[in-house]
Amino acid sequence: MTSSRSDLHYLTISQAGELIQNQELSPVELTQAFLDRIQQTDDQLHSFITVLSEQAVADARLAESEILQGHYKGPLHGIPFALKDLYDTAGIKTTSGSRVDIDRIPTEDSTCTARLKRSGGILLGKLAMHEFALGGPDFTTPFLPVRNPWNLDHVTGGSSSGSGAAVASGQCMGALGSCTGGSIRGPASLCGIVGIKATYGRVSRAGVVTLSWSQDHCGPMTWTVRDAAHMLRSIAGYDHKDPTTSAAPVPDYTQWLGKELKGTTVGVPRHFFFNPEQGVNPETLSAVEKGLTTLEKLGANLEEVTIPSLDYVRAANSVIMLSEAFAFHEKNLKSRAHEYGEMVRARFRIGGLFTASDYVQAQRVRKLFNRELSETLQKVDVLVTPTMTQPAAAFEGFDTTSTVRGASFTAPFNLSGLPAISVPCGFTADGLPIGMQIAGKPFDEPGIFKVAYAYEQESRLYENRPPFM
Amino acid sequence: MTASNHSEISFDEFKQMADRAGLNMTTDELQELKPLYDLYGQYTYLLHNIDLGSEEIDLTFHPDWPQTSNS
Repeated sequence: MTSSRSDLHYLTISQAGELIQNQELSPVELTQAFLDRIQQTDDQLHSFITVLSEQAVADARLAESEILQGHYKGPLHGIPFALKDLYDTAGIKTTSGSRVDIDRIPTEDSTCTARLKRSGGILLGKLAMHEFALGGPDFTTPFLPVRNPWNLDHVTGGSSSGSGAAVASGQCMGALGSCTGGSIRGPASLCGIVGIKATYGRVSRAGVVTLSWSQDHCGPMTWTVRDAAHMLRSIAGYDHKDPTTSAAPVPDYTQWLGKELKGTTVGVPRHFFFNPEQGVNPETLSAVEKGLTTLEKLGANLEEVTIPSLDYVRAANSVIMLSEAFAFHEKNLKSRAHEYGEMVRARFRIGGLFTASDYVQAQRVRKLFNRELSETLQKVDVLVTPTMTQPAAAFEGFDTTSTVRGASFTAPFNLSGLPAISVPCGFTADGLPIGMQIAGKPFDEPGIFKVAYAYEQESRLYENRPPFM
Repeated sequence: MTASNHSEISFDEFKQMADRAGLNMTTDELQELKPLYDLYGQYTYLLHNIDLGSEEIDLTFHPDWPQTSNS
């Protein structure tokens, strides 16, 4: 298995997988190309906390041997990937981006880690993140904030900051992020890649450090929709270690890719997501409007919908998130508070100041919102919105309270638990990526993959790569 | 989000809340944290001033349909 290509780091998982299956590309060569890429670029990006060079090459040799012996496991066999550093990895440091866990070495793999390995994936390393999956770039943690490959002076978004930058810059072919208010779709949007969080219960949270038990989701971040479909299929499914997982069978999501959009009704909640009062950037609005026009051209019907309780979702998402986070971190916050970064320490302490009544009210809003969403999604198949209100902010002058003050277009689907994906849908005049969010009915990941893929293939924005190196 | 009628609590009230939560914070830390608490106070004000009617809570969260009736 040999290859002389010099740009292996910009192959997609699907492209590389086909070459590996046909024994035209060696997993060892591919893995080494990514390790070289990390070495060349990470002093500027800061995507990785831990790089597993020796282990990755050893795993790639094993994968190559298996394939040569005719034991090909599927589209992730021999594919280099990386994990946000809150996915437990047996014997490998898992820091959650915090001084609190800086020496923590789990004894078991998270379920997602184990499933990606079982699929033949090659773990390159552990990725930087906002501390304990909350907040923003914080220079008071032990790790440097990750920089955006499209413009190194700008943030990646988070909290899966390393996952976004690593995939966008060709440091790995796919990564896992985690998401409680938008931490997969947000950095995917700001880094110009694809990110999906499936329905709550579709992917196990076992062995993933908690932020908010009832709103945490795990999911893949990749360059293309097809690659995300491959990774999601690998990690989805029932897990006895996570009692919230569903026993529903996991389909091959790629079967829905390429299906036509004729007959698909797209709901557009303009009153909220396209409302200038929410502070949404005009270039973002323009790009997503063009995206909607493209979907219409592809055969989808657009229908404006109204979901009144969207106005309360950010409040409910935040109160539930911080209350549950405080419960998880209470012991450490009381005994080792100084080991947390300034931003997260403050937010978690706020979680300890909410009352039981605050939490119950937030849960009642959650039920109201789910009921309204249910009624809406009986009329339409998916909802389409901007993923983020703004493109990636600059580090200089970054407002650490911006994630509290502004609207969140991603949080509604963490509160509801419904599946949502972000796909690239354009660029600002300054060359920063813009994302479009597609959300669907419970367990209708196939439906959102279908729409996302149709749009991706028509727009072909995946043909653009960051100018970085 | 509209929570313009939200009124901020006093520093003493804030300190009592933090003490009751067992946060063990210094006066400087409390003074630094209070503006953020006031920001989040807009959220809690909003949550307590919505007419939620007879809406209940889901004791165990699940996203499955149908949830179309307000029972």
